[in-house]
Amino acid sequence: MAIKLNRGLISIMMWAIAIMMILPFFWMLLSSFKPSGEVFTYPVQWLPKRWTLDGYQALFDSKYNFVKFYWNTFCVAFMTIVGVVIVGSLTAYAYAKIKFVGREVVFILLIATMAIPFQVIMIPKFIILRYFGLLDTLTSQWIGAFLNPVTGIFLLRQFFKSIHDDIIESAKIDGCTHLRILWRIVVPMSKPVLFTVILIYFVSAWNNYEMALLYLRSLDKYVVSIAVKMFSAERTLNHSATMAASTISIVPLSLLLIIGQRYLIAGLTAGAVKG
Amino acid sequence: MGKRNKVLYQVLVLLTLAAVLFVTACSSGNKEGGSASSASPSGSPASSASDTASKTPDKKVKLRFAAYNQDTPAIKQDLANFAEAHPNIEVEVMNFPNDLNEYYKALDVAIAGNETIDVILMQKDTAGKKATQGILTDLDSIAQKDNNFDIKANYGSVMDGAKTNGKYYYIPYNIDFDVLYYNKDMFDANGITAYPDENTTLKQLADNAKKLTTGEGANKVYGFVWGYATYNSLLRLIENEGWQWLKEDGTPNLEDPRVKEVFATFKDLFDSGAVPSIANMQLEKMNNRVVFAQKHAAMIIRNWWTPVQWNTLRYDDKLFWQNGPDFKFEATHLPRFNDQDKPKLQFVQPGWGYGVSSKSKYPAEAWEFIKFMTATRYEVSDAITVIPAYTKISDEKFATIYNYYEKKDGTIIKDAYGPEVAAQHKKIKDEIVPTISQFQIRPIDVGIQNAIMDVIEREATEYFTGKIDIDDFIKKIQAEAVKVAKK
Amino acid sequence: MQRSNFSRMAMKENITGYLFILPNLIGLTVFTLFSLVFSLVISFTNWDLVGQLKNVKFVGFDNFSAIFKDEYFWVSLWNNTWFLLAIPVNILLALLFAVALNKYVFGRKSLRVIYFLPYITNMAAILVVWNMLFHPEKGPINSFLRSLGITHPPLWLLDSSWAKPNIAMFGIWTSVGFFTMIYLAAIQNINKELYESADIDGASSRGKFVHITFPLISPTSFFILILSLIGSFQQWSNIQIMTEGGPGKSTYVLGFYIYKKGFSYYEMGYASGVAWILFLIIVGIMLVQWRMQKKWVHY
Repeated sequence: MAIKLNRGLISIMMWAIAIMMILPFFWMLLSSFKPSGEVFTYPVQWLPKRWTLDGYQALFDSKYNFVKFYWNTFCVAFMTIVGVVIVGSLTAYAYAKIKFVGREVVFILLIATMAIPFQVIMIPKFIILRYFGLLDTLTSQWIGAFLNPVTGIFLLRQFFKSIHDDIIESAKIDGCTHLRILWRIVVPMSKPVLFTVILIYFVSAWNNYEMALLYLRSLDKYVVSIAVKMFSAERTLNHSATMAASTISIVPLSLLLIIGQRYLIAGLTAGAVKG
Repeated sequence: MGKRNKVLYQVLVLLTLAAVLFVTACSSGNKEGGSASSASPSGSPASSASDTASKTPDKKVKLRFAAYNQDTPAIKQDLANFAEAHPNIEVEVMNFPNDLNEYYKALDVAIAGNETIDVILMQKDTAGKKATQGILTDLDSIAQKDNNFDIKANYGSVMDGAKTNGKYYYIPYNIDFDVLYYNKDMFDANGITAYPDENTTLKQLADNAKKLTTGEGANKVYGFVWGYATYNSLLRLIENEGWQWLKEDGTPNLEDPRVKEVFATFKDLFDSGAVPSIANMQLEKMNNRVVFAQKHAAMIIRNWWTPVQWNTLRYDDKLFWQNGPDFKFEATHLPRFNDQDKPKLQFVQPGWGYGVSSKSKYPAEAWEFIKFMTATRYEVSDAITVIPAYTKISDEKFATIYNYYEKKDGTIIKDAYGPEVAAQHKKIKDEIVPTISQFQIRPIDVGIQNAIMDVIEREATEYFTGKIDIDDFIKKIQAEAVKVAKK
Repeated sequence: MQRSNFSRMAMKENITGYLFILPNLIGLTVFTLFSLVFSLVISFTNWDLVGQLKNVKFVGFDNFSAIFKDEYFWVSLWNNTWFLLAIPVNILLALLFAVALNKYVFGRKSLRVIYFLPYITNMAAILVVWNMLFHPEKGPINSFLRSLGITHPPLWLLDSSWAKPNIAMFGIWTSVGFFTMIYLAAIQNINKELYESADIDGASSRGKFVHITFPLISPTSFFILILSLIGSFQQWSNIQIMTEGGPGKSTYVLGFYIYKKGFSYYEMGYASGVAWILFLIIVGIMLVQWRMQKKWVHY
């Protein structure tokens, strides 16, 4: 009884907070159905006075093919994740479980790079990308995270480190190489954290704006984050199109989250270490 | 064990291969944008001195044009017209993303990274800055070779403000100026017979604004709504009369009594409720054009483009005026600051325009393109959408700015307002006396001006929310501005 | 024989280790190292972003001495330090939410998605709602405060004393869902058997949390702490959108200072100098945290 009461109380509080959290999304969704001039009115309007699909139509008329932009964004996000998972797992595992000379020092240096402000990187990165002919390509958007997913490496390393060494040692005794241990044992154990890392990088790749702004030029390489800005110039103002584009963006992000819920449920550590 | 390891490595290789294939599918092997600017790491080739290559008319020349927002059908048509008129010049539009600030940021990074650019779209201040940095070629010498083309005669007195170190570095394709719009019906209803005109002073405008303010909440009608949601924009009213950001000795000029007066006037208006506060305008993202059209403002100041946006809002968004404007309104000059000032003064600046990169290999062709985009294209197209700096535009062409509108569904409106709106605007444009022609305006470094404007923005909140009084406010902004103006 | 076997294994470990981190090291060297060197060199010049790189002049330590004499630098440093106060609040909330969303709430699956929404919603939409809620005259929050008898509720973003708290709250609102998600993953990872045996021993909920949950998720806590510290020191786009550093200088932060000096006032050399100082500050704090983790992080 006491537990149920607690549950009820906490549920109410959490749902009350949730209402606050969902307000912007609601406003955005409803605004995508308004004509552009109605979006930013004061007092803040929730329901459209005139329901219209103008916002969505603007996204798909021949001038701006948002289908292409979504596809580009998806490609960037996908490649980012491939890199993060592969390079991230390899690197994190090494820092967590392989004893090599200078491991701690190199790791600290790696983490230190998280501290570098983007303004420092902006222009030099432009110069490098230009040197390699990668300007105005989608590759420029994911190559950085692919090779150096430092946040992911950090998080994965924390997780991997908390896996008991005994598991690793017994596998080694059985004759497994580190690669095999990583692939066959550690990764399956780490589904929740891998999913979290995938989620983090998917969102960041999807919403990344600065990089797209600086390194992409031609229209057919645009990603959603900057394509959306096309509707904010004074002469081509279309606020509802911006809201519509953002609403559509939420769909894959939320889908990922909902599907991944499965991996967040019930820890899996298959009782590997007894006692 | 060895066998299983091999399988593992094979799987890894396959995965990487799959990733690579996927990448190629996604990027469709398009690397032209980057490699056009040459893969050599040592930076750009030195600017070529040879004009001979550009003189042979049959040689196909490619110009790289840095701009943004060039995807509208009107501009596409213009570019097509240019291609027809100049078949030997191919223009590649480098479409930078987004809006103003983002465009400049990306442009600066591209220039810093030595990308090849021939023609640059930019505003006057940017042109000035880039000119002093040697990024642009001066156009006087190129125009001279073009049958002594007289830049000032063709583009008007507004060009006085377009010089840097005595030379022209860019040609504007439009000019921007502010207009005072007022609701005639409201003036009549309140018994005010003296409509605003070029002789109205700021004080008279303020007094009228207070008289015309009525209502509360949803029925509120503001006497006046200013058009720009920044505190430092209020200084435009004294800039028009020759006030300058820096004194002769180079220190900030915020202690000038006119600065104090303009801020005090507006604070008084905000406090009395006749004008919405700048803070509210920012929070509520107020668009004074909408407020005016919906009869919640008796007067507004905004630029000449206002009736054009009204067309979008009424025909496409159907926000108001389903049966045409439902009240009488007129456009007139901005008020004078006080009654000693000359009327019709405005710090009209050349607006957006084009310049030629100093590293361009084809300056003559770039000049042809610029001439087209600032003059010929207006002569050639059916309707125009900006007020060109080019002086030889006919009255009929001018009227199409306001009366011609293409709706989203493709139908074309040819007479959105009737003749008066266009005529009023043309009159204002013809009569405006550019401030720069009356006063010796000292150039100010863009970076320093930005810094002073930021100081005013941040400190003004304290004054307008009543935390400090006007004298302390002026002292503070002067002191802060002096600090940031030192470089 | 044994000794050579041992060193051969150690050698193999070393090689394997470096092979594993090789792709990452390549990326680091090409992008990060070059960027660091580039910006360090620029910080000793007077580059103004638009001029030719070959025309810049070296000015030695002039930029740095100017930075240390600049009031804006010290104000920014102070403001950044103030914003650190939000971090424990954020982390604690994230932890509480994660624990609640793990088991104690009805409709958790939907709630998890909802809490994550502010992190992925369009910034313009979030700002509209935030400005509406906190509108000084017409917003519901101030109306509520007035109904409690507070005649002059804070002007929030228009008030130099309340702008920072407001921005801090905004930061928490938009990022707590993100951290909650990370904590959730960590909590899910804990072996259920540990809780079961604790139950058998008669442990209370509080006891289970303090002795099982908290220690076992401490690596994650450390991660979140570092991420928060870095994010807090680097923040600038939220300042740019919400207050541009004002009112007065109350929300001027180092990240914003760098942005303004570099891209608005065209003093890129100076800005690079500040960026490097910021970098070293963050690294210093991280090192301190690194040392301290021995005391509370259990792997």
